[in-house]
Amino acid sequence: MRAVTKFAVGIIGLALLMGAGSLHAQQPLTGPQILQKVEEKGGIGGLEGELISDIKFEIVGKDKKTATNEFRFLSRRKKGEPDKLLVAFVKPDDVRGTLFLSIKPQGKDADLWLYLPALGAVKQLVNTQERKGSFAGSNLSFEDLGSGFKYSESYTADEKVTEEKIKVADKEYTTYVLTLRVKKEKEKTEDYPLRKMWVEKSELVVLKGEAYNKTNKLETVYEALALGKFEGDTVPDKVLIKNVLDGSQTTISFLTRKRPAQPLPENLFDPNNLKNLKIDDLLKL
Amino acid sequence: MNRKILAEKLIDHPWWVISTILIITAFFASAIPRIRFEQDFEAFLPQDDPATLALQRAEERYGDQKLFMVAVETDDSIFKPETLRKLKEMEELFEQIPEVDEVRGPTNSQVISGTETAITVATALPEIPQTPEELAAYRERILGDRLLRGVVVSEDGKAAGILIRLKTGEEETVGVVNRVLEIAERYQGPERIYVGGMPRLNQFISESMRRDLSVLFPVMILVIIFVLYLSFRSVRGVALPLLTVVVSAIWEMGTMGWVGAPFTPFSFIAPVVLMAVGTAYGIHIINRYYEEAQRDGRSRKEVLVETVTAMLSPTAMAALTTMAGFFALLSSTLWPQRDFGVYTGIGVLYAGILALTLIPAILALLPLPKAGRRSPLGRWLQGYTGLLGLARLLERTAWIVLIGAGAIAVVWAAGIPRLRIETSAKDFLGQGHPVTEALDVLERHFGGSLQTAIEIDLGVRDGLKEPEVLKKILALQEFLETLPAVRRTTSITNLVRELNQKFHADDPNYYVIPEDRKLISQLLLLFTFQGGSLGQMALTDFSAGEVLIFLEWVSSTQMAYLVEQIQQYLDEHFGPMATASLASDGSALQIKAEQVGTVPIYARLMQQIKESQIWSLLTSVSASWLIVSLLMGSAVAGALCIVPLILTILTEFGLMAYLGLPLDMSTMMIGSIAIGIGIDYAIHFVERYRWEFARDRDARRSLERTLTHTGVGISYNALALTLGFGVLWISTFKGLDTFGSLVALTMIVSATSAFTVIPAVLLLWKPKFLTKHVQAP
Repeated sequence: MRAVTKFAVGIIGLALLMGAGSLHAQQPLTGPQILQKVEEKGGIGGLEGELISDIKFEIVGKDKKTATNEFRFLSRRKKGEPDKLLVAFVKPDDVRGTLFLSIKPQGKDADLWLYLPALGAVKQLVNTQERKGSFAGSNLSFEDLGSGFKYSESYTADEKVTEEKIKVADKEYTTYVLTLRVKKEKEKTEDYPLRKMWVEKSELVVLKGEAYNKTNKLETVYEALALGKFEGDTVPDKVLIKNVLDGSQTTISFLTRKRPAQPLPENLFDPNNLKNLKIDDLLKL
Repeated sequence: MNRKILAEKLIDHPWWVISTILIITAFFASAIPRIRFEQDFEAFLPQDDPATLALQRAEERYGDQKLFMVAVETDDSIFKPETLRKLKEMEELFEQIPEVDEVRGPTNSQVISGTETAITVATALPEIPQTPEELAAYRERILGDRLLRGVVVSEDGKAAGILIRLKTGEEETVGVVNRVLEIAERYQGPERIYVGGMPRLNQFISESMRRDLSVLFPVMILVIIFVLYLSFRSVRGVALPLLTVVVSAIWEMGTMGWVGAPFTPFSFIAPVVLMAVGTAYGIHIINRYYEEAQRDGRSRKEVLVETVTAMLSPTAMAALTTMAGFFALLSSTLWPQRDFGVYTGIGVLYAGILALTLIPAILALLPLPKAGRRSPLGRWLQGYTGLLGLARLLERTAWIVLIGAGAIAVVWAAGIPRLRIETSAKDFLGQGHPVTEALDVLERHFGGSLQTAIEIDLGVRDGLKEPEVLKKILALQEFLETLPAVRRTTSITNLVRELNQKFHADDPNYYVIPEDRKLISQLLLLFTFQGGSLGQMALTDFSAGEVLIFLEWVSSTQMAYLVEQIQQYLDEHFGPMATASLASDGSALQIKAEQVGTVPIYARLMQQIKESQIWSLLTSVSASWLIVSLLMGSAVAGALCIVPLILTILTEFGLMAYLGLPLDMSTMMIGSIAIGIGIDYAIHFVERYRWEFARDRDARRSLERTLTHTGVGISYNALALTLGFGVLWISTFKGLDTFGSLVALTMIVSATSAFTVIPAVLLLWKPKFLTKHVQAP
């Protein structure tokens, strides 16, 4: 699942955190150059500063049953400081107030803490698994979400790119089509040896993605279902991540995306303070 | 068109007949490669059967429902670097098989541990331990985890198990199992590696069917050649009946190919059975041909016309009754048995037609055989120490024969109530078989080789998070674990209790269902966040989940008992009244609990066998009686012909009962086969006797002539069938070996009955049908 996760998370990272200005190509770009620009725009660490987002996950399992979760994401990314992300569960009611905190020092693994209101206790989460699990039953892992992602760590983009027109919400966009191949040293840990990305030409927004498994079968598809604007840039407002083999899918909707009116309080990202945080207060931010 | 004209036309145009048969054979042969193999037992029940529907629904919702496991057994301990390295490598290789959904073993499983301040979620064995301390720590970690102990590592640490879950809807499970077997074989020794579970069983059955077919065919041909040579001592005596059955087997398989019928573990022997059965028609025709050819001064055409004219009626009757016997299996509710009956029945018809057309057509092209030619076996059978002697003996002992037969029948009949009805995969394969051994290893170390399930469906989102619901499920599990054969159960309650303990600093006092629904929700949320797969434990919306039951591979009787016991409990504890208000807010919450999985399928199979057996026997006997009665124009003649059949069935079932052999999916077909084939002897005998009796109305002479002529053919036929079915002794399946032995026995009994009981009746009583509608020679 790691590969699915990373694929999706890269997109989420972009969608959540992007904010770089438009990039107009002056001359034909190669695959690696496009990938680099995509990642520079909103890759690891994403946008500097603080951001508040309300996100809804609609998960359809292999069994065709659905589950819906709503979260508030509060993030802080400053150069030279650890990336910090607090995820507060809003819905369903049973898990309302559950908190996850991720603090990722530069170049190191993220530290994770969990607060379960029903237990009234904070626990540090130590996950040493090679393959991380899903976030809220989706195809995203919490740690990856907290730390962001760079495809270039595991994949090499083909030099040659093609162009293709694709539609998102009835509007046509011209895209670069990138082919990413897994690096030799990552073959063992990556589930997908091959990926394809459709990157919108003018603003380098990833509009579509495909991941092919070890038997060359298309397994996961990412699609931007709706685009919006944030601080002048085009960003996905609604995305679909679908496992075409087992039929499971996650639709992620960005309900709000905003800068905090006041700087986020420091103790928001303090593990020792997690049990004092109230969900209603967090929603007022 | 009367028989003689038909025979003349046939003899006058041999090349037309041969060419037509060749074209038809090519047409059928082209369809043989289309035949596929179907070995999944659950596919054998009607697709609208409640047990099948429940399994299909469960597979749609929860994925594959079959246990598939690779077990690694050691003499001392698996906690050695070299063994652990093997396990890790195997797990990785299994994960790379595209059709595999999930692999869970002692190295890649998730281990959750808890302290006051932290929760650690770790891969059980990320790196191979090198020092004794590291090995001891790993041992403690994995054996200390209730979710893993006895599941991926045996309690005593001597065996490890790798659970493989296949993707739903993967039809090519045989190929997957083969790849798993190849990988397992690579790592074999000194550890003993076994691949077990339902997919392995199915793979084995499929492979064995192919292997058996490729071996049984040539062996059957050799047996037929042997018997025919013994009987006729001539090339044509061997070649022609053999050619008839080979061509009819091609036609039969071609029909299956064109219709799209698969080979199943019960129908794949249809062509082999047909070859044994179909030889009879050729034998009788050749036997008669030689008999006619003995008479001097007749032309080739006269001999052949006489042969065909005389044999048309008994051959047609024999073929039709045999076909009816096999067609009686249509009353079975299990389609593989119906298929077996239909295609063998059709094949018998083909064999009858071919014997009456192809053999005379070829003989029309050959010179007449030399006069006085008889095989030593034939001469012996016709002599005083053979059938002539038997005829003389019967003349003096008719009453004794009848009383003796009646007494034997009573003894056999008395045993029948003891007959067990069982379907056991282990019995079908036999003890000591690699697949059976693997099942035993899984049972010895991992609490069962068979998995079944109960679905708990609340119909509302998050219903499974209610503490009262979980307690009810836990009580069900506790009940299940008291049942014989059930080794362990698992459900969402195991996970919730485990998580509760881990979140309370690993305090064993917290290995309970929490009283707070919110805590349950949050614990489960954490589990899924950290990569835990709920798998069959719960649906995505927690509206339903499965209680998995691991058990020994018991017989179908025990399975039926188990299903009944479980159902009683479910009716009592999960009915509408028992589950009216389980929700935290006091609202109505009803639980639907239903048995799904393989065990209810097996239980249903057994029930179907029981129902099918009685009906197929009744239908078979009635059809045979009706056909003979119609063709001989006498209900009495029909009744006389089925007497040996009844004796044969009583002998077969009585003997099985006394020997403790169960009536299972393969042996239940013997009744119909015995009737279908056994009636031939009676028909040939009675028809010839009637013909002889019409000549001089002398019962003694008629009996002697019948026994020394048709009796010889019947003897050849019985010998061919006995040895022919004996070929099944070399089958890979023990079940078919038993089946072959029993059918061989029934052939001997039915032939003996035809030679003794029918003559005894006819000597003591001269029924009217002997002289009615009979054309004197």
